[in-house]
Amino acid sequence: MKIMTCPINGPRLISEFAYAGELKAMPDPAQATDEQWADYVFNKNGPAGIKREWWCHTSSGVWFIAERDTSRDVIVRTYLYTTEVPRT
Amino acid sequence: MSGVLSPPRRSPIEEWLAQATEGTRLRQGMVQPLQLHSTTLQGTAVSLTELSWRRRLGLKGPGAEAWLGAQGFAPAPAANSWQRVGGALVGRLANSEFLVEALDAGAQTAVASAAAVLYSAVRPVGVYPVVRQDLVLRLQGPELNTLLRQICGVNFKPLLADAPAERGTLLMTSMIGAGVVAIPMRVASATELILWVDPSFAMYFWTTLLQVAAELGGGVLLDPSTEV
Amino acid sequence: MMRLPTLPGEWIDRTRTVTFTFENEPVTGYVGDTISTALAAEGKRIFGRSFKYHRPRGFLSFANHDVNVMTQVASIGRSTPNVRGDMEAPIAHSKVTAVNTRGGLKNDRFALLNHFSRFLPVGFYYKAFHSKRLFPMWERLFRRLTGLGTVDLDASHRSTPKRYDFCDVLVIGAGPSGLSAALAAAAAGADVLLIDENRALGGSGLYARAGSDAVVAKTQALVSAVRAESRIRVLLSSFASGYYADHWVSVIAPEAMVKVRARSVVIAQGAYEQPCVFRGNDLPGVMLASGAQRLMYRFSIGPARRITLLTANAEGYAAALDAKSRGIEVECVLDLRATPGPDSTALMAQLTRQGIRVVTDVQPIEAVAGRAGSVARLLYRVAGVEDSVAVDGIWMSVGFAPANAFLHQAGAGMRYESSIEQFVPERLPAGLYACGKVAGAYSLDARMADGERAGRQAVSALGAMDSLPVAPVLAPIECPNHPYPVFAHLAGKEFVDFDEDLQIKDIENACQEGFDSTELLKRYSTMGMGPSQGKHSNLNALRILAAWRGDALGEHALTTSRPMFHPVPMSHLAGRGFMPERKTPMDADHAALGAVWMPAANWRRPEYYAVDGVSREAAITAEVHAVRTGVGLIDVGTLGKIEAHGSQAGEFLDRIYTARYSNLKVGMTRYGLMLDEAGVIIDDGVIARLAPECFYFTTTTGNSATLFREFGRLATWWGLPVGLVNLTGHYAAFNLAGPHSRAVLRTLTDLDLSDAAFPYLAVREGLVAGVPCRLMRVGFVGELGYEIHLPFESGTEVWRALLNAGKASGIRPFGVEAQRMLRLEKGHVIIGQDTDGVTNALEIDAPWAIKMDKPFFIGQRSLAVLAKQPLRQTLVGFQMPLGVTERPKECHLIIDQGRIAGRVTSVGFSPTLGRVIGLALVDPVVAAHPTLRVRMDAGVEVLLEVTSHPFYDAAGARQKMEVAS
Repeated sequence: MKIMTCPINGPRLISEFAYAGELKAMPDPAQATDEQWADYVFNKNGPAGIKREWWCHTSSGVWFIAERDTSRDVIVRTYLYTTEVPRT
Repeated sequence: MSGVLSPPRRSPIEEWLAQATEGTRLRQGMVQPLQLHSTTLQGTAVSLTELSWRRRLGLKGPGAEAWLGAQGFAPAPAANSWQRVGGALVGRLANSEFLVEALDAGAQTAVASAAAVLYSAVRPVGVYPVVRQDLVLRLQGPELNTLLRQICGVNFKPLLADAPAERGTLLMTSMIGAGVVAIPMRVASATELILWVDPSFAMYFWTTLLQVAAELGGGVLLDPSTEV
Repeated sequence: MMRLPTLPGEWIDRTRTVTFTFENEPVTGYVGDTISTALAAEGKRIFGRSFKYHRPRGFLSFANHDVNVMTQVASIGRSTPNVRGDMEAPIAHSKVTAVNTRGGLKNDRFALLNHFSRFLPVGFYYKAFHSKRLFPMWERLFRRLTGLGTVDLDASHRSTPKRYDFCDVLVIGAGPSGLSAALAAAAAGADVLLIDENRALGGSGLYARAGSDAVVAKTQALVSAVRAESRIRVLLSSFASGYYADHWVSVIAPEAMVKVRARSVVIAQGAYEQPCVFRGNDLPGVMLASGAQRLMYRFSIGPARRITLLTANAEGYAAALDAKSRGIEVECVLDLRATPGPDSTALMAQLTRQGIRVVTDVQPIEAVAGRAGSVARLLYRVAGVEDSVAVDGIWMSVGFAPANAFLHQAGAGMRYESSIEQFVPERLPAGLYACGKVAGAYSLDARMADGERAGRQAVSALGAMDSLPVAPVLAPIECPNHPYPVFAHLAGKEFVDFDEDLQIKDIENACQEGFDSTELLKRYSTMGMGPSQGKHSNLNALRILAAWRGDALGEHALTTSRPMFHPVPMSHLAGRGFMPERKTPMDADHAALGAVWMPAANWRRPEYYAVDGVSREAAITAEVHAVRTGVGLIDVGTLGKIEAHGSQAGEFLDRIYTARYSNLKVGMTRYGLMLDEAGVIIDDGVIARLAPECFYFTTTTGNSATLFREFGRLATWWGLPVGLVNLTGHYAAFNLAGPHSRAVLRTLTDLDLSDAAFPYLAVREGLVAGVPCRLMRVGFVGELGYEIHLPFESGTEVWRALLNAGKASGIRPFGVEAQRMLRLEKGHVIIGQDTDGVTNALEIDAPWAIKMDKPFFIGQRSLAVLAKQPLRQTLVGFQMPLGVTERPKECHLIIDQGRIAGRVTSVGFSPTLGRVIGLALVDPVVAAHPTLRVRMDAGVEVLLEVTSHPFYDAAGARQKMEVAS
């Protein structure tokens, strides 16, 4: 079973985590056209590659970002959202 | 209705206690058993002791750490850490949530008083109370690691081998499908693992752990101390 | 077959016996025997019947790489199917029979299928038996003709709890290379776990002896060193069933599964010896040379009296010397090669000295059976001239297939090394190492050196994620593998896959029909799909395929290797079977009150409370009646319960719900509807403001955990400081409802319960029965009522106090079914019942709950898009005439002019109104009609009368005011 490393709690079985989709910026609802908004809501980033994703360590409630290379099934790194990623 | 005494606290495993034990007493206002019905429930290879009766409080928020310090329960700075302060355990869960529990008889009143302030209608600013009605258990015994190897994917062996007495690390993990807070600690010369479990999982957790423990020659150990 | 004289190191204990029956005849073996060896010792030669043709079978690999000997074992408490006779010890007093026979092993009536093999070519199921109408009949026939053991549905329960294990280096395989790797890793300071599927360490180092003690002595030294090394833990009779991410290996030990997390893994699993493919190669008495060696040295069984060795490598010559040393006559060694290699030639000299002749450049033609059904003669050709030998055993030693399943599962890159005619690892993933035969090292010294290298590397790279293991460097050796040990015969019966009864022409026919790639060939022919999963057949099949296509073998890949390595008992996969279940503090009280349980997410709730002599419907009706006319009490403690603290808490709630909460007065509550980004309804609840910076709100039972987590994510993402506390498990909650509820509550609290002090939809904190509680006046069931929330530890006390206080008013506990009818009578929606995964907020006809003028809430922008489109469906209420009880069920379809126009979402007979009522999601145009046509079971259609909802107390007066009691 894969190991995921929580930035606060350390390496744990991936069964202790929940995945919540890709990190993506929400377009300004007031400015976006209906098409742009629908693209944001429904279309996901399909091709294999490095994804930045929301993950939660369910035993503690810690949320963080994991960078995963889905073409090699490798977790590249994990970090807390606030410290490294510019907020949108 | 003024003048009605507050009723006793009920253990989250009250249902099990009612059919497996006899006689009751109050410990910190919680109904607790006097003795087990049957000695077959006992076992020292790995033993389970319920400690839910101990006084505790939980809190979070921007003002939580300072308020705790002002109450005399300063937490250690590292994430996922615990330390003994007076006769109480002060735990930092992840970065900014706290759990305080009275370990020794002398600390029960102090923790209960702090809890009364925390949970009162007048809430300290930036201090958010976390009501904690956990099932708390102490696990100990030579087969403790064997039991943990059946229920948890974290390797406890090095943690138990080196369990500290005054301060150390705590873990938040999952055991048999329930989230737990786990603290390995040394008390006198014995190594114990203290677990906090959401009370709605309590009956499932206790009875399942007891079944595994019994297969390993373990069982229930009632807390022997007579303090209330 | 016979028992040989005692040998030091044999696995049997001749001082202790075990008795059982086989095919109703008594058998006595020694402790340490397997079922097969105990039978062999008594002279048996035929041990099973093959899968398709029911041909008599003896031993082939004796290494768990074939299932010639599959038995059903009936012992106390259970009858176990598919017990592998070669591997399993007999249970004392058990009754053992061969599977897949009709009328017993000797007189299997289905043996005549063997003569009809012409009509059962590869893929015959698809060709002759594909008629849909007839296939059920054919299927029943096939299941009777073929198949393995029978499942005992009354078998006693066996406890097989799984456990975790941890190590630095996991070494899989304890032959000479694995032992060497383990020792090297331990010497470098690592914690080593060494596993082997056999019951003893040593592997082929203890049975491939070439008639001498040299190899054995070296191997024994390794074994002793391992036993003495405290950093090496050993698990025997345990096999790795699969290799998973991050060096997670599932190990199947006899009593349970062990889930091992290693920091690095060394694969030392060796190689599977392969059969030579020629007519009659499946006759009893024809076996792999290594199988014969295992029999001779582990169990002191002589597989035959007089053998010939069909070989193409030095291992075969060594086996001939082993036979001789154990007193078995070797008629001759038949070498397929024109020129044997240097190692073979060296051994040849020893053979000649012992009077064993060697013939080279041999082509086998046919193995012929004697009257007893086992082999009696081998026909062969040398330089065009036919010859034969009379033997009762033919041992095959023509090559090996590397046991590299885990290398494949881990994503290792392999290449074909033509000097040894074997696939070897070329690119290994980080932390994975290979040594020994699986990596191409065959001599004892080479295997030991290779193991030592792998063990050292496995430790030196620990924790270094970037360092990739070096593929082993191969020393030049005599090639152990014949490139094409396949000899076709016009009359066929040259077996490639012994599990599936597949011959050469089955492969060729499949190719001819277009299934001429590895993956297609496998699936069309079932090659490699039997219990051995191709361990003795895939390589030869691939060779035949490549030859048919005219390709080099290296151009074809083996089929994808997947877990499980060997079959794993379901008990081991199940383990203890933990079923986490959550309970409210009143769980035992409910049981004592006669609760009939229903699951709710991972909790359980009373569906209703059973009353002696009263039907379920009548009991539920009585509960509804109690709430409408008196007072009832329901446990709602499974609801999600969350606190939000801080100056931004109101803003946070404004964003996650469709209504506005930042303006909610302290001491009041408001219904909340929650949407996802697409505007689809995902949850609802009640939000109470306890203080300017403290909100307390509920979610549905099923969503509490995921929603609490999602709130944490949103707070993080939005950078909104809000203190979120999950009280779901730590708080109990119940609903006291009915016109007498206030009167009952008044006896237990000092709180001012007058409408002025505690109006409808307000929240108050106060003592109930001496316990601090939160009370809310809510309207879900449509009567005067109080939802009481309090800490878990006090739940039972207050619950019991209320039931006690309500006795005079005839209080009844009520369950989920009564609550569902009560809320239906009020037309209240249940999320997930009256809505589904795509129902958006505009479709439930509740515009009052949606505040589009807020700056932002989740789903708002999508609702703006949806509002521009015609409404797809809308929620309507319906009723049926008084007195009608036959009613549609949930999800029965609304039909309009021959097309589906909607469906029923909730329906029931309302005892309060005396008629059937319900809700339906319907096309808005159709919903505007006075009636709806619904299609019930068996196509019966009835009309429903569209009506407004609530059906009961439309003005909502009852939940607001006290009714004079």
